[in-house]
Order: sequence, then C-alpha cells, then structure tokens
Amino acid sequence: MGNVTPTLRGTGDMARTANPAGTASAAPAASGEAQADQARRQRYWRHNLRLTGALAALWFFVTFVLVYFSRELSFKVVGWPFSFWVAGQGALVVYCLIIWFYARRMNQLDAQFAGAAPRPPD
Amino acid sequence: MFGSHNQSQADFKKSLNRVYAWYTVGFILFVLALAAMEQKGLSRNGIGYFFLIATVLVYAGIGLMSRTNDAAEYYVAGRRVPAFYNGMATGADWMSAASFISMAGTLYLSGFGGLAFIMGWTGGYCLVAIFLAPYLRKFGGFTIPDFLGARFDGNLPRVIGAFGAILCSFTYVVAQVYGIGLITTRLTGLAFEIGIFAGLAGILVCSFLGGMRAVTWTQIAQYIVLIIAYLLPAVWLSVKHTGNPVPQLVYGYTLEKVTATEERILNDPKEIEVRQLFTARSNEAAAKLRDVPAAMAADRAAAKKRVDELRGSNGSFTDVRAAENALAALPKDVSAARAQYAAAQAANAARAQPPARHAEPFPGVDEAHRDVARKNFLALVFCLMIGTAALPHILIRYYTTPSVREARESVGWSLFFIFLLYFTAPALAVLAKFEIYTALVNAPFDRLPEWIARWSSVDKTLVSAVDMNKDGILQLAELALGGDIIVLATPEIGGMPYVVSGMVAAGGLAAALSTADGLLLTIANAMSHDIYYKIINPKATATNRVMVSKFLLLVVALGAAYVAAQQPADILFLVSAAFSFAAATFFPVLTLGIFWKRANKWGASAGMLAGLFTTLYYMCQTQPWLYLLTHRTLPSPEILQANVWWDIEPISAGLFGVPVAFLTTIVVSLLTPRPSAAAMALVDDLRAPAWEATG
Repeated sequence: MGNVTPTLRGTGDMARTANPAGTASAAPAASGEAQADQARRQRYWRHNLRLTGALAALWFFVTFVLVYFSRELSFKVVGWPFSFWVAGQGALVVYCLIIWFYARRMNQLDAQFAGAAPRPPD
Repeated sequence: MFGSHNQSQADFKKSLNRVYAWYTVGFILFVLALAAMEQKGLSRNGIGYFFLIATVLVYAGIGLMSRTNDAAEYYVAGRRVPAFYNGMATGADWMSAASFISMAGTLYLSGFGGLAFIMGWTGGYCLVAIFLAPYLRKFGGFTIPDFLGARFDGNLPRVIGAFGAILCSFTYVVAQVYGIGLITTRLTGLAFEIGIFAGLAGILVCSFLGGMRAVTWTQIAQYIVLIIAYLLPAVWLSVKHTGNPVPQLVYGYTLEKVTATEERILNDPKEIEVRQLFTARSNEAAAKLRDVPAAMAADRAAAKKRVDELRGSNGSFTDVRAAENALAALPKDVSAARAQYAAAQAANAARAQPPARHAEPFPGVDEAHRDVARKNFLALVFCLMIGTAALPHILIRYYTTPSVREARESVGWSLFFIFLLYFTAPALAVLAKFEIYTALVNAPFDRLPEWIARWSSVDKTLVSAVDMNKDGILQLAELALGGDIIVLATPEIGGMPYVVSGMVAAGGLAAALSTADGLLLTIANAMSHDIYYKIINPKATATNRVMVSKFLLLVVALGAAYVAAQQPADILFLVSAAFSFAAATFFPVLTLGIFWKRANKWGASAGMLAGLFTTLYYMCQTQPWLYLLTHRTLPSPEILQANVWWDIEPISAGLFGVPVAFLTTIVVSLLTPRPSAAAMALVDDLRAPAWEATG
C-alpha cells in the first residue's frame, strides 16, 4: 500500500511525528508509484469535496432558505404549523442525518482508497 | 476502571458499558429511595443536600480514580475515548446552565424567536462534522492553537489563537460558575458566595487531578444525570395533558390550543385594561425623564408628605417604616434618578406589550419590522452555528477519539445526545405555557397555586403576580415570569413530588459543572501547552507541563469564581458574545487552513485579529453595557440606534466579524509569501485518506 505514509500508519497522529511532511517530502519512491499515489489522493480529495459541498448546500438550504420563508410556510401539517416544526424539529433531524451520512460515506471512501490493507487485529 | 494501557479497545468499551449501565441504575435507585424518604417526611432542604452531596461525591470519585500525570492522558484522555462515549461527553461539555435552565424559558417568552437557539446550537455540528473534526483528529495535536502553530508556521498565530481561546472560554466559564452558585443556593439555602466555592470544589477535584481523562469520564456521568432530569418532567407533563408519553410528538396539538387561547387574551377587555395601566406608568416615567431635577423634587415632596400624613394620623408602625424606607430609597443624584426613570419606562413599556403569538415567525407591527425580525433571527442562527463550530473546548474533544473514523462518528453521537434535550425544550415550553394559560390565567388571586408565592419569595424576578386592576382575578398581563422559572418550577407547576425538583436542580448543576470543567481545562491548556511549553520553556518535561497546567487551572478557577461573585451586570449577554468572538476568531482560519493551501502565517494572524476586533468594535458601539464600559458615558437609545449597521443586534456581531476575518485572511495571504513546504505537506496529509487501526 504505497499511499499510506509511515507517519500515518498506526496512530494517525501527525502532530506527534518528527516529520510532519509525510509522503510529500519522504524518501523518493519509484516515481511511477508516487504519481499513482498522488492521483489516488487527488481523486479521494475530489470525492470528499463533492460530498462536503453537497451536504453544506443542504445545510444552508434547510437553515437559511427554508427559514427565510417561514411566514409563507406557516400552513398546518397534522396539527403543526410547518415552519415552527421545521425550526423546532425538522431541521435538527436533517442535521443529524447530514452528519450520519457524511461519516458513513467518508468511512467507506477511506476503506476504498486505503485498498485491501488488512485491518490490524483488535 | 477507566482504561489501562494493556487493555484492548474492545474490552475497554465493554467495561465502560458495564460501568455506566450500573451507574444509571444506581442513579435511578437513588432517586427512588429519596422519593420514598420524602413520603416518610424528609424535608425539602434535606432532599437538596442529598442530591448536592451525592452527585458531587460521585463526580469527585470518578475524578480521583482517573488521576494522572501523563501528558497524553492529561491533555487528550489518552486518545482512547470511544465515539459513543465521546459524543456523550461532548453533549455534557456543550450543554451549559444556559441550555439546561434558560433555553426553555427563552422559548416560553419569545416563542418562534427562541427557536434560533435551538437551530443555532445544533446546526453548528454539521460544520464541525464536515469541515473540522476529522481533520483536527488527523492532525492529532493537544489544543486548537497547536493546529494554528503547525499549519501557519510559527508562534504568532499560536499566541493569537491562545489569546482568543482564553478570551472566549473565560467569559463563558464565568457564567457557568455563576450558574453553579445560583443552583447550589436554591438546592440547599447556602449563601451565594459559599455556593460558588462549594461548586468550585466539585469542578477542581475532577479537572485538577486527572485533566481531560477525568473530565471525560465525569462528563459522561453528568450527561446521564442531566438528560434524565430534563426528560422526566417533560414526559410527566405530557402524559398529564395529552395522555402521550412522547411530548415531542404531540405538542403540536397543545400548540394549537395555546394559539386559540392567545387570540382570546389579545382581545380580552380586562387584559387590555391592565396593559393600558402599564402604558400609563411608562408614560409617567417618560415625563419624569424630560425634567429629571423637577421630577426628583416632586417625588421627594410626595414621599415626605406621605410620611408626615401617616405620622399625623397615627398610622401603624409598619406603614410609617415603609413610607420612611421609600423616602430613603429615592435616588440621591441626577444620574441615578435618570437611570431609575429610564429603567421604569422600559420595564413598564415591556409589560404593556400584548403577548407574542407563540407560533408566529418574525412578528412585527408592519412589514419593515417583520423584515428586521427575520434578519436578526437568521443572523443569530448564523453566529451561533459558526460559533459552535469554533469553540475550542468543543473542538478539542475530537482529539480524544482513537481514530479519524471514530471522530466522524463521534460528531454524530454528539449531536444525537444534544438533540435529545434540544427537541424537548420547545415541547416543554409549550406544555408549560398551556398549563399557565389554563390553570393560572383568570384564576382568583386568593387561590393561586403555592409555587408562585414560594418562588417569588426566592427571587422577585423569577415570578411575580400583582393585581393591577384590583378585580381579584389574575390577568396574563399581571403575571411577570422570568425565563428560568420554566425549567426550575415545572415539577411544581405539574404537581410532581419535590424529589423531581431536586433532581432537576441536580441536572442543572451537572450541566454547569461539566461545561465549566471543559472550559477551565481549555484555558489552562492554552496557557500551559501553547504559551508556557511552546514559547517560554520548550525544554519543559511532560510532567512539568502537567504540573504547570494544574497550577494554572487553580488560578483560573479562582479568578472565574472571583469575577462571578461580583455578579457582573450583563452575564447572559457575555455568554452569547463568546459565540460571536469564537466564530470570528477561529472558524475562518481553521477552515481556510484546511481547504485553502495558500493561506499563510500573516493571513491567518491578521484574519484572527481583524475578526476579533470587528466583533468587539461592533458590540462596544451598540451594546449599552459595553458602550458604558468603553466610552465612559451612558448611551441614549438614539446613539445606539445610530451606530447599528443594517439593523443587526449586538448579540450577532459575528455576522460582520466572520466575513471580515475571511476576507482579511485571503487578501493578506495573497499579498505575502507562500506558506512553507512543511505547511503545504501538512495540508496534503490532512487531505489524504485515513488509514488506521480502528477499535
């Protein structure tokens, strides 16, 4: 697994290691492999950015757009004034889902991009 | 019990499950035992003491068992806190006395407007989850200034960051200590100052002995107490009114009934009469303000006349004394009189307002006022959210998980545990309002429930009822409620046994203690790790640093207690201000540091300072108390109004600070050299996939 830097393996703590530069300045690996690593990292980061952007847009919509039109959205749904329900419960549920989905998707991506590296025994 | 080095993460988690399951069972049994003792005749103060002593002893015991001198254990709990438990600890760390005691009251008083706090204090976790927590965990430092120092090449951003962290956390911790003093006083009847120091002992024994490790395991215990204490009264009230034990699902129907009652109260002639009486009083105060010396003379003459009359007509001794006291209490000089008249004008004008419709978004007399209300609602939500995502004591909690993966999951658990309380608060507010509108309004004065007299003798600002129009019937306008009463008195309003009241107070204490613990640790660590170790004495050993941190913790705690004992005027404002400060200081540089490689040392330093000072400047120009503090003259409402930008309230000053900080960071970064290769590489590694051991 070429894309795993020695500094990240095991602990994942970059601040503790003497060489925070990681792979970028690590020993010159075979240049082909290094380039492939670089490309994989970039793809992973682009996936991450797309996901982050989409979820941030959803967050923005629920928080600011929906609430901006609260007066217009005061119709009743099963006894609730809709805009009151959104600000008091609906938005909170969406926030929980946003975080849950991000964690799930990113943990999948991590596994996918880290390749078939065996998990250390618990 | 709380983790040794040779234990595997899975075994550790299992033992934690066992410990906290038994703890929860123990707490429930303890409450049941007290309930039984209440039936046997245990006094109210007795119950209060039992709750205070038992809970603080348990927290202290956990602190004692988790004592440590190891730096990684002390600063980040050994980085082995499972996601689920870190979520619970973050929940307790996050929910302060304000969330527990005041929020439902704010919702009661301002209806839809209060939902800004509900949204703001939860939605911020989305930003934590997707912009900050995983990257900070991957970096894996000890403090937030640690990250700034590494990412922005040097000590300047680190020092500014440490200063900002200390500023936000200190204003916040003063309010917590104040809350602890209040709750201890109410629980036991001790004096306020003694209450503060009793609570302080509870905080110190945790954070002092075991740092983050002790604070984490205590916060989980405190979360369990506070959530049970919050949910039980709400469920009880819900069963009483709707027959359904899930208040969050059914309060929509109660809200409908409240709305119907509101329409009646708005048009009730008796209510209108009382409101007009308040308007008249407000106008009277306004007239006095136009010629203060004359009004003072008139007041004095009237009071003198009353004393003479009573003496002449052989009035009762108490009447004469009361009249003499009233005469002695008249303001001595013009500025005191002016302040008194202005306060009377504002207070009476506020009471003359018709009640707000609970479910109406952005109320206002006309379209322009509604626009301003909407703008301020959204601005407040913005500041609270960005502030949530920037408060150092919350962010450092994500350093303590074993992995990046668990850090991501942990944000989810955090919000879930916070959500449990936050989606109950609006339900509690509506249920309490319904109870008050139906059981209290239009009740005869001589048959008001007992809790009104009891709480108004504790504190007049919490609840007072005066028969203004002398009809012997309580109109809603005659009832003044302070927000805090809603949570504190719900058990009594709903007719529950006193043990529930004791439990609610213990829950409020847990909320205040847990937040204070986290904040004190953040301040002490910023001083000991970022300033002492990284700048003053880089050769300090780990043990030495922990010692320094413990010493500073003691000093800061005593300082906070000292400030809180002065009972500073606008403490609630200061808490909200902490959010705007944190938002403008940290959020822009942290996110740009991760998402924009070109951000450099100079940009970050200038950005933090610009954000902080813009926020501070706006507050000093528009908030009366800060204006007085900085300009040394009392501002008139016209001056404050003229200083306002775009009709934004001072509490939302971060709305200007955050964009200024973003812009400054970007512009200054572009004008100065690129960051070092090491900083660029750090960003590359933050963005790389996380591959690591999971437990």
